[in-house]
Amino acid sequence: MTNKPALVWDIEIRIFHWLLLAFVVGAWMTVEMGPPSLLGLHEVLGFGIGAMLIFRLFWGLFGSWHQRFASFVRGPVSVLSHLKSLLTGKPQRFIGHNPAGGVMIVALLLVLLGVVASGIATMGGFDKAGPLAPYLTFAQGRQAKEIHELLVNILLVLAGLHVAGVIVESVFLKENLIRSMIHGRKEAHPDFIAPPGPPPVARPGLAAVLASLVVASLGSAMFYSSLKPALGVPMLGHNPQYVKECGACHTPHHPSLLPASSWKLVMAGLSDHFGDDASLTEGNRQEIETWLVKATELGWDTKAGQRIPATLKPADPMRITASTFWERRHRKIPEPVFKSKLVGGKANCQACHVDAVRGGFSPLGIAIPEEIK
Amino acid sequence: MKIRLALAAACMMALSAQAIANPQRTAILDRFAAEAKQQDKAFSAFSAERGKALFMDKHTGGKPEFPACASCHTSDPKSSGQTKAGKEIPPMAVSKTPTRFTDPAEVEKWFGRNCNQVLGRDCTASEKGDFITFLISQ
Ligand code: HEC
Ligand code: HEC
Ligand code: HEC
Repeated sequence: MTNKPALVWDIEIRIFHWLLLAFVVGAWMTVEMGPPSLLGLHEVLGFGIGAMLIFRLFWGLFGSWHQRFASFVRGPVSVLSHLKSLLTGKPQRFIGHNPAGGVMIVALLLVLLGVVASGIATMGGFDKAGPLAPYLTFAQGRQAKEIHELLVNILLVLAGLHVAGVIVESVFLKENLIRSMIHGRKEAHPDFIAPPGPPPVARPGLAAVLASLVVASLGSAMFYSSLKPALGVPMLGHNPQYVKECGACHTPHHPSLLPASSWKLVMAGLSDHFGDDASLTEGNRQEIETWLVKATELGWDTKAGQRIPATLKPADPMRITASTFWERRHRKIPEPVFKSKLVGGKANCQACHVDAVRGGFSPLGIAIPEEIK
Repeated sequence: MKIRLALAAACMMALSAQAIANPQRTAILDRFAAEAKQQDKAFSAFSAERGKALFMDKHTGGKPEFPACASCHTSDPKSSGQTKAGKEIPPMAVSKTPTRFTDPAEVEKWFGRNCNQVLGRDCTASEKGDFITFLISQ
């Protein structure tokens, strides 16, 4: 037995490890600290993590020996005996992952897979975008969001344990495991415990081809699916008469933002309309009211269409901006921003939401006009 | 040099004439003139002066929140105003917004709403004509 350092982590797994860390940290920061419009970047990073996980799966089947699940996934007995060896001060030394580390790798990969899947489901149901938008309701999207957040919390705990484990092993074994994940080598030791059996031949080429095939076909299926109309977002033609008459003083509010009963109240009181005079000829008034009521009857399973009508104040049934949902989402915006010349008032949704007229209110399309900040 | 100046002046006159001599707008003014004559035999012609006063002056009778047409349209007809809800109103001056006073239904609708808000009553045909005449001159 020589003391020559052995290459344990090949270049693929090292790139995977650090890239994955960067993507996960990036994805976490975009939603925790960024403006809502960074959700787009968050989603791109999430799909990237998904693709990396698929590559990791195939490396775990066909890659070099220490990367294969077969080499490091052990039963609970080996895990316990390894943890005990740490406590007795005579730690078992493994070339690849130790049994506890192996459990952690599997747990991290599985939880991450769950985070990505629930993220795509959140995007689909909650934001009506991406490959699952044609299949998930808003209520399902909300549930997916809760699962997504729960799994992220579990991931953070696991990541903390993973780092703690690496530090503990490094101290007990007097070997810098973090450096190993950079240059790939570990000092050879006479008491190394090698994985069972003779190491099979590494087939990185096969792994790469299979992973690429799966990523490419899954990717194109998702792309195709994301082009389909989202579930519960009906096609509503542009109504030039509505935009002209009800868009003269403020953003023409999308019909999905109020229930039919509220629209009828609005249309019955146009001559004293929030202190303004918005009266119309009787013909115009009736045409617009009919269109509004029909449009609400199409059923809108969007975030705004579900949450705003459901949280209106009974005393203020015509005020979109008095709904609890609206108030909560905008409470961080200071009053002077709404009063500024570029926005003008709360009813000018379009000043900050590019897709307000279509009723989209996608987080990707939110921007408070530059000049105000 | 003189020829150039004359040419430039001619061009500008042609441009402003195009902005002003819009057949729809002329028809709207003609109709107000006919109505005004019906209401008041002494009516002779619209006056940009009186139109300016209607636009700028503070009135009583309407909502205290909007004492003047200028409350929303600002006291400079060439600059943009703002609705109560905060949306921009393009300038009222015809030189700035050439489509002003060309759609009879729009003109009727807004005179109806705004005179009521500011004066607490409908505007007379001669007030409407004065108002438009003032803004054509701007
Ligand atoms: C003459 C100007 C004017 C016109 C035309 C007008 N509105 Fe309004 N609207 C207002 C004002 C002013 C407010 C109150 C805005 C505020 O408080 O910031 C308002 C508020 C609203 C709101 C409540 C917004 C909120 O704060 O939640 C709704 C809904 C609404 N309008 C619908 C309509 C519809 C439908 C039409 C077309 C029939 C219409 N408006 C046409 C001036 C107008
Ligand atoms: C001054 C700019 C501004 C105006 C005006 C404005 N919003 Fe918003 N809105 C925002 C911002 C910023 C957010 C994101 C808040 C956050 O999550 O941090 C937001 C969030 C929302 C959301 C939630 C989006 C999501 O996916 O979480 C909805 C729905 C919404 N706005 C609807 C409206 C409607 C309807 C109006 C008009 C009646 C309106 N907004 C007017 C700035 C504005
Ligand atoms: C409460 C705000 C407000 C006040 C006060 C107001 N206006 Fe207006 N006015 C508007 C808005 C909004 C429009 C429509 C926007 C546009 O045409 O660009 C408009 C448009 C008009 C138009 C139609 C212009 C066209 O292109 O056809 C006329 C005429 C008009 N106003 C006359 C008046 C007169 C006369 C007064 C004073 C007696 C007055 N306005 C006061 C808000 C106001």
